[in-house]
Amino acid sequence: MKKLILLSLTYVALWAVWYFAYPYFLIWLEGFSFFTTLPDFTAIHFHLPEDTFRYVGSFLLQFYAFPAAGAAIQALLPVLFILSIMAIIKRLVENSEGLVWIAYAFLPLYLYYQMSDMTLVRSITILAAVAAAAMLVYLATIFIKPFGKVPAFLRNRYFCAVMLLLSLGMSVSVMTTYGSVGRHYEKVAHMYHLAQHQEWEEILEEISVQESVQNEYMRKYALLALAQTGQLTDYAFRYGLSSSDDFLFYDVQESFCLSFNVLFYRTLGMNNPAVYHSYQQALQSVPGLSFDAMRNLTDIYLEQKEYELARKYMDILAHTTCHGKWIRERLPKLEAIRDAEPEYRMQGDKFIMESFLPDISSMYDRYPKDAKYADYLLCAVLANKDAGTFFKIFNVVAPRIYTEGQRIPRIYQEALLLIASKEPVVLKVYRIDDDVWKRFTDFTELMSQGKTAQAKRKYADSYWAYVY
Amino acid sequence: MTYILKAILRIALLSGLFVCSGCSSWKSPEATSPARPVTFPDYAEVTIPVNIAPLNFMVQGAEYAQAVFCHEGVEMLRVKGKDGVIQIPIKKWRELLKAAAGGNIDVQVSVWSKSFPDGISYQSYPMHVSEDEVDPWISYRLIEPGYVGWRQLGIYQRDLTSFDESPIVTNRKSNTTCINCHSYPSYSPESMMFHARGKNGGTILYKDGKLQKIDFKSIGPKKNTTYPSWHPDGRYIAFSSNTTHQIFFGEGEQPIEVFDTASDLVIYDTETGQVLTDPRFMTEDKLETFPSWSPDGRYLYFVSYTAKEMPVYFNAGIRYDLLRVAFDPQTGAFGEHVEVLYDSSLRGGSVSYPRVSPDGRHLLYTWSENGTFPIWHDEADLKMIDLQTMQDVDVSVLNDVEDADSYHSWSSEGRWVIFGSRRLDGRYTRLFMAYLDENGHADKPFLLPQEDPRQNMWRLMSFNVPEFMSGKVDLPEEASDLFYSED
Repeated sequence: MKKLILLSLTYVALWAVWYFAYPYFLIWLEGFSFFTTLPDFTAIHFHLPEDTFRYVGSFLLQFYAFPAAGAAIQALLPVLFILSIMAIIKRLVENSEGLVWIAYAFLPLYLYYQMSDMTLVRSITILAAVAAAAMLVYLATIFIKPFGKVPAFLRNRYFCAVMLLLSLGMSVSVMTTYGSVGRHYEKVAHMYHLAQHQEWEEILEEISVQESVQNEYMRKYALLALAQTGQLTDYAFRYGLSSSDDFLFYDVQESFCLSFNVLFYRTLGMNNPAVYHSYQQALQSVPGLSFDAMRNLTDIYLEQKEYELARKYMDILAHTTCHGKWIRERLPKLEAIRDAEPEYRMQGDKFIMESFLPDISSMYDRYPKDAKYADYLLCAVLANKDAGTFFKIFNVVAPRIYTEGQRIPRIYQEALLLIASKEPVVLKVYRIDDDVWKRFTDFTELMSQGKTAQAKRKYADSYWAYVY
Repeated sequence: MTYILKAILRIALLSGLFVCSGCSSWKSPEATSPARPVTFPDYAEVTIPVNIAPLNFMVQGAEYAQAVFCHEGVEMLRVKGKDGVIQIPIKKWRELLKAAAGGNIDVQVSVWSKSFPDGISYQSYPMHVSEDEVDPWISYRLIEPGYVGWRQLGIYQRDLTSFDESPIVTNRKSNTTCINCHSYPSYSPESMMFHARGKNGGTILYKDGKLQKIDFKSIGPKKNTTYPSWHPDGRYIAFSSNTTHQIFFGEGEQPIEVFDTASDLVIYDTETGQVLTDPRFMTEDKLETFPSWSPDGRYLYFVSYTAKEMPVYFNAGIRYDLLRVAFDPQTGAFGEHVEVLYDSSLRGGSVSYPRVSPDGRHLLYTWSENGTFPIWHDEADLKMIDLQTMQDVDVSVLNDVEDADSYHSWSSEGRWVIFGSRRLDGRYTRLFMAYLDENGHADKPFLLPQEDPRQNMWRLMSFNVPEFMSGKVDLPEEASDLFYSED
């Protein structure tokens, strides 16, 4: 009975850690995985029986879309592991009472492997090995007598309690040690979740300025949220924008990064690179497919009115366990495009994707009245500290976007003030707000007094602080 | 014991119910339609080989379907299926084909659906059964259509007389390795070559029961090898040596373009291990690619682009001509005269994948507006030249108007072609077969049959480089060890 209570408490504690500390990471794990009952999945993507544990892992990961279920599975695996070891001890030792601490002694090790196991393969393999050992021991001890008794001190109540506490302490330590990595993944997964649901304000509430400056992943999400809420031209440098390639991930084959890129390009209305990064993202998963990529592709193809492709992916997702509602929500959209001609957004000539600056420049050329492209382009140029190019582009952008006395965004005003020191005509053409003037005067005074650090601290979110 | 007996009884009872449910009686539809049914795949009025696997099909949206197969007015076979899927028993199908060889099979389909809960019977459609058999096996590569990356790919083989599919070689042991460009001499499964790209890559050659890996970058002119064509007598393999680039478009329907900045032709002598070159095909300003032997081995066909400036950068004006040069298999030397068969500067477009029919009379190629990688060109179509008259032969029936039709192969008897097409969804390449008579008249192509017709949509891999084979390849398992690398 005591053992049962202990195991139950362990299960509840582990479930709570996963559910409360890593809910978005669990959701992410589902998106990173893939499972279907279709024939190719076992014929091509998995090779049974060698890949049995991968297959089982993929099956279980489907349920991680619901964090409570994911946490339940994550908690169940170590509990079953402990139970298997307890069974071995019970069969091997005559007087096994009080030896439960031995089973718990392995818990930190199991958790160590489990915490970084994104496919469940390691967790299941270890569990299966121990469970198989328990079965063998059970069968063997039908014919062979147990080893006998263990020394009394190993069963001593106090010794047992100390060892148990030590094991649990080590388990906490493992989870804490991993915590920094885990928290990072959890946070990135959380931001991804919010971005998928277009909760941009909440992203900016969750990411502190300091976090954004220090953490590349957070910075991408913060900059995206700033752009989506129209604040990029006020706070881009406060949030640590430091180069034109800072807006998305380049040359990284990490699933977290590729999924961000998909989102990023979708917000820009650039479906070609979004599709490209979706496929690349899928390839990072064990079977070369992932739920997240497939859902992204479905939505992109629905948007592009590519009926056959959208139907294909929805049909495949219909052969998974947890996508019924998701598909039902999209069926009307699919029906609506049944006889529609696909729509590929394209203005002007085709352009080749290179890096952010030329790409966004091409998009601005094609959509000159879209302030989003203009802002990304101008901010990217400013991030490269290229005031000359900024001024040339701004002279083209301004008459198109800042018509009828519309306020020029603060960062641009700050850049124009710097340019004005060499090209005074700037001030005749563009109106600078009084408060920007005041800030600039104060900033230059502090700088002239040699108080560079103070000036940069006081105007940390300014373009001037970034340049100097 | 009692528990076990009860369990057995339960299983027996359930099995009985299951069997009986499958024995439901043949239904009579209430309505009749003068139209033909819309089936997937569309097998109406196609010509099929007498040894092909069952042409299973489905009626989308149907809850239940029945099909009656008749020959010369006599009912030969009845098949019914749930969800509108008709899966024909293979043994009965073979008997049907045998009986109908040289004639027609008429397929009459009835459907029960939400729109027609009491059933509707459609007008029958014919399929012509040719007495010409097709080579029993094909091989192809299966790859994710995912631009630059891949995870799992392999060269697979399929028994055309059934649905058996098995891997010949895959990158399962080293996922970062790319496997491509498989080739066989004269349809023989006894020999095979393919490239493995990656850390321990090379060209894997299997000939006379021996496996070897060739590193072309360390022998002869030290050039990599790309598109192969195995000489019919088995001794030589012609390769193009390409420097290939891929670019991605930010907007528009075409997401990718692939092009070469250099390509030459080399010949590998499998007997001596030497690489033979001809200075005419090793120049920088001419890019030769897609070598292909004539069936008698006396000519090498290839395509060539004369670069206006070097290095070549992508632009819409890259157009490849079709050429041929005589070859002496005794000496391994090319003839003096290089003949232009298709001059793209006069006729427009660009030629890829020239393949001569086994009787030497026709040459099938892929035409696209420009470039050298037609599968990403929606306008890409198959075209054919009569090599006796040098006139175009109309094979437009093979092509889809909206999507790319590309890589193709002739069967050993020359009556069948197999090719890749993206017509189903615009992204995933699927294989189609078609009959061509001795005059080059082509019949409507049909989709490679699958055990479950929905497999054509469910498969998340593209088929590429389909090649007919006279038998099943039995490549030693050690082949994948030759290019093994830690991922």
